[in-house]
This record gives sequence, C-alpha cells and structure tokens, in this order.
Amino acid sequence: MSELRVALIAEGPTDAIIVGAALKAILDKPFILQTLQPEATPGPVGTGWCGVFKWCRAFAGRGAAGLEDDPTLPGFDLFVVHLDADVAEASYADGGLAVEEAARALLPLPCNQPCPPPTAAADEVRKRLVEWLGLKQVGPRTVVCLPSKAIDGWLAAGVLQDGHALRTGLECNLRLADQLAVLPVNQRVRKGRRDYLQHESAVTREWERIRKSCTQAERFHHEARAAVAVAAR
Amino acid sequence: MIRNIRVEGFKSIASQVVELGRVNCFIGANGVGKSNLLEAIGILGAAAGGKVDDEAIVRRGVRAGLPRLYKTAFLDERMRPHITLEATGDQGSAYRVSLLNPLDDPKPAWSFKTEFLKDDSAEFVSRGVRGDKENLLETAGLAALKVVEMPADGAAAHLLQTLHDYAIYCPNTPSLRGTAQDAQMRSPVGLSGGGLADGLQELQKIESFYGRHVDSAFDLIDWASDIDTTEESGSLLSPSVARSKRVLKFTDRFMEASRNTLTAYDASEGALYVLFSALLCLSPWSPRLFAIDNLDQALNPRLMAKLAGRLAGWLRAGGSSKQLLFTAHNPAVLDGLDLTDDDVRLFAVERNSNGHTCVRRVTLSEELLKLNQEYPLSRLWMMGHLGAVPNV
Repeated sequence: MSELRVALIAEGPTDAIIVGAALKAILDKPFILQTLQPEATPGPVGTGWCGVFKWCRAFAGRGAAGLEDDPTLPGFDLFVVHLDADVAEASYADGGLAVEEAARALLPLPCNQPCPPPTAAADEVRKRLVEWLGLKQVGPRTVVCLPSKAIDGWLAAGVLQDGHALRTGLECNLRLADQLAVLPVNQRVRKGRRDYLQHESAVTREWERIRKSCTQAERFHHEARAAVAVAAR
Repeated sequence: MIRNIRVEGFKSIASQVVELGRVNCFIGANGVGKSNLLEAIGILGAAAGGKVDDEAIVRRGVRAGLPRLYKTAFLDERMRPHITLEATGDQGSAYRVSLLNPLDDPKPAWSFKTEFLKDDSAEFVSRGVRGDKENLLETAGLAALKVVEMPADGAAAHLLQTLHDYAIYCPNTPSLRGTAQDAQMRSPVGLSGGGLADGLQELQKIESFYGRHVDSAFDLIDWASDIDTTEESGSLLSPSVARSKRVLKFTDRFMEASRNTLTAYDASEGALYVLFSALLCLSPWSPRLFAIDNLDQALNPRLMAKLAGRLAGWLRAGGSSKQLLFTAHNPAVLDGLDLTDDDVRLFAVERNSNGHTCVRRVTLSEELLKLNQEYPLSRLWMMGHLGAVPNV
C-alpha cells in the first residue's frame, strides 16, 4: 500500500506542526501531510479561524457530499480539519464584513459555554465547523481536531513536567500561549515555528500523557484511528 | 523505452519505484528529492558505463558526493551499506546494481556488490555477492564489458546504452548565450546549454525535420520572424563579447530590415531555453533518456504551458524510444500537459512524516477533467489539492 496521504486544514502553521506531531503518534505508519490551509502563499483566505471558515465555505460552495467526495481533492486518504475551541469566544464580526455577511444564515458566534467541562464549548464549535463545511456530518475519513482552548494546551501537556502550575485547568486556560512565552528560559515556548518545531518530537513522544491531560486530544486520537481504519479498507 | 526505475537507499530516497512514460514531469516543494531521483538514474548510467566515480557521474550532470551523503541516513531505519538501482525496459530487459563504498575512508570509485543484466532472450550478467571476487575488479562493471558481445539490436543492449547515455541537463543563460564555457559539452548541446547554435545547425541539415518540427519551436518565440545560425557574427556582436564560432541569429519582426538581427547574446533568454528544450527532444544525437532540471526557468507562464504541450510530439519525432524527465516549479506547466495521454505523466514528489522521498503519479478523474475550466491543474496545485507544495 502506498503512503497514507493526509490533507490538513488548520488555523495556522504552528497548529499544523502540532497536529502533524500528534498524527505521528496516532498512526502506525509513515504518512504524507499536506497543509491545504493556511495557504502556501498569501491569498484571500488568510490564517486563524477566519481562514478555516473561508476555506470551509469555499468547499461548501463546490457542493460535494463530503471532503472525500470533492473531485478537486484527489488522492487524499484522510482529512483533518483543525479549529481551536476558543473560537467559541469570537464573533463573526471579528473576521470583518465579508465573514459577517457570509455567516448571516449560520449558527451564531460566540457560543461559549462554562469550562470545565471543556467539551461543552468544543461541541458547540464542532457543530459550527460542520455547518461551515455545508455538511450534516463529516465523512468517515474526515476528522475534526478541536483542542481546548487552543492547541497550545497539547504542547504544554507534552513539554511541562507533571505538577507544573500551568498544567492545572489546561483545557480551560485562554491565556496559555502567553503564559508559555514568559516561563523561565529552559521551559519557555514562544508561539512561533522555530520553538514549535523544537518541541514537535516531545508531542509525539508524550502523546499518551497528552491524551490523559486533554479530553479533546483523547477524542481526536480515537476519531483519527477510526478514520484511518476506514481509509485502509 | 525505460518503463520502471527502482531506487533504494540513495540520498532521501529510501525505496521507490517510478513507472515512467515518455514525458515525465516531477513537481514538489524545494528539497523533497526531485533532483535526487534524476541523479539516481545518473548513477545507474555511470554503472552501465562500467565505472561509478566522480568523473563518470559529473559527466552525467550528477553532483559529486561522498558516500555519507549518497547513502540514506534516516533516523527511523538502519543505514544500508549499499545503494540499489534498477531500470527495466521493453522485452523483459532489466539492469540492476548494488553499489558499495565505505563511509569511513571512501574510495574514489564505488564497488559493484551485485550486477544483473537480462532480457527475454538471455541473462547476460549475473554477479552476486557470492561471485568469484578474485577474478573481478570490484569497481569495474561487468555489463559494460559484456555488451560488446551482445546482439546490438537486443533489448538488454538497448537498455544499457540508453542508461549509459543518460544525462541531467541544467541550462544556464551564459552558456546558452555562448559567453561562458560549458564544462560538460556533448552532442548536440552541453549540459548547461553550450553549443546551442551548433546543435541547431546540425538539426537544420535534416530538411524534413527542420521544417515541420523546429518550426513549432520557433512559433513559441513570438517576437522573432526568423531564427538561423551564422558564423559571421562580426556585424552582430560587440568585439568585446566572447563568442563561439557559430552563433544564433534572430530576426526581430518589429525592427526595420537593416537593423533587425541579433544574436543569442542579445536575444531574450526565454527564447534560448525554448530552443534548448526543442533541440534535446528533436535531435537524433541527444540521449534517448535525458532529464532537464528546472525546465521552466526564465519562461513566462503561458510560454511554459505551450512548451509543455509540445514536448511529447517533439520527443516522438525525435525517436520512438525518446524519454524526458523534468522538474518544474511553475504551476503553468501543469496546464500544458495532456494527462489524458498515457505517454505524459505527472509525478508529485513529497516527503513522508519520516522524511523519506515519495513519488506519486497524479492521475485525473473524469470529474476533475470536467472541472478543468474552473479548476485548472495549476490552480489546484497552488491550492495544495494535488499535494507537492511546501507546508509553509
């Protein structure tokens, strides 16, 4: 069998690094990861949750029954759509007039829920993400990746020692990325490609520990395994 | 024609088999290993020629390198002691070698650990690890010696000769203009584009050829009303410009008759790259199998698409077994390729999560063909939908 080809729609390049590291732990075999969003070149879509929103709406516009059925996406075995759960705090107006206009008939944002439990807001965001794609539910080879509050939580769970203060309430901490950036030098992780690549292997290595600390990582793990099993058929 | 190339343990290629067509376009992010694949065939070509040393591989356009760079060294697998390369052709022909060179204290030439050459009619060389080493010079390829007593029109001899003549061309503007020496001159043109005028002049002598096919290359140079070669460049070039004996002469259709000729030195470089590609495809003296690294350099996207569309026809005119492998980064090249023709193949080259180079043929579904107007391949490539773009 040829290499598993994974298409990733993510908020940003650092998110893509962590999702890739997680997949390396989840999947049994090497795979080829292709980032579809954010775009390789500066374009009209942009990054962040608005970038994912626009990508999803463009996909919905093509009218395919699922990512697996879109003829413009040939040869991918698995699709991963990433969105941080902190989108629940945002409003469509934050994305500008075009986003606000495009979302007029969609489920509203913000859609925040009390945290803990982190699943409540993540589930609300998931509903919106699936709606953005123009689907009732995602297909069997599509996995939604919804870290709470953001993917920095998975990174922190992988690199910080047990008992570290930031590990408390990891999935409900909206300021985690900022806090990681001001830790003592030997623990500091700045939000950027260089620092994230340095810790990429720790996320893969410590995935079991991350799953235990992050409910959304655990969910992603199981859904990705199920989707890969379908892809392997 | 060469049907399959197998590469194991060479640079970033842990293990890959590529099924070739006549026109083979390789796309992918920088650093994924496109050139490594072209170079692996160059190493096999050197083996087919009987010796794998720096002289033999550089002559074929391969970058000279130490064993520690040539052998794969991935974190996830044990380093292999040897590189294995294989080409299969028509009528059951196949040539396979395993090459050795120690990492510490590397030798000037690689040793042949194993070597096999066969076709449907016979097995000509079978040199295994348990062969009679005492009577064999390990750095000398046996197939290159054996070929002198093989039927010249046989499939195995044909395969070996095709590999032997293979080269990677990488044109540069000074060589194409004739102002810089080409370090690897060949007939009909050097690996960097040197001697382009001489090559075209040779082609001009084949009248039927010239009229039909070379004209289709000239058609791509819209500002020129005529293209010729001349040895009388005195009135066309400044005396301070270095030049070869024969130079290209372009006639600019927009200039007045007495002042409308210019040489390759002054002509647009795009025109030179088009002529270079056409010459290699059409010339009966160019290798049957050859590669052009970065075919798209200096070309306008629309010109690139047109050029890509002509390659298959030119190669067929140049010889029934002529094949081209090329790399490109300009998305427009994809729109010029007729992927409904099985002779024309597009390969996406990517690295997997362990860093191994993976080569995948891109085929088009009926549905995608219908969508081509709205979603041409160039657009899909830029969107990442075909893969083979960097994750940046």
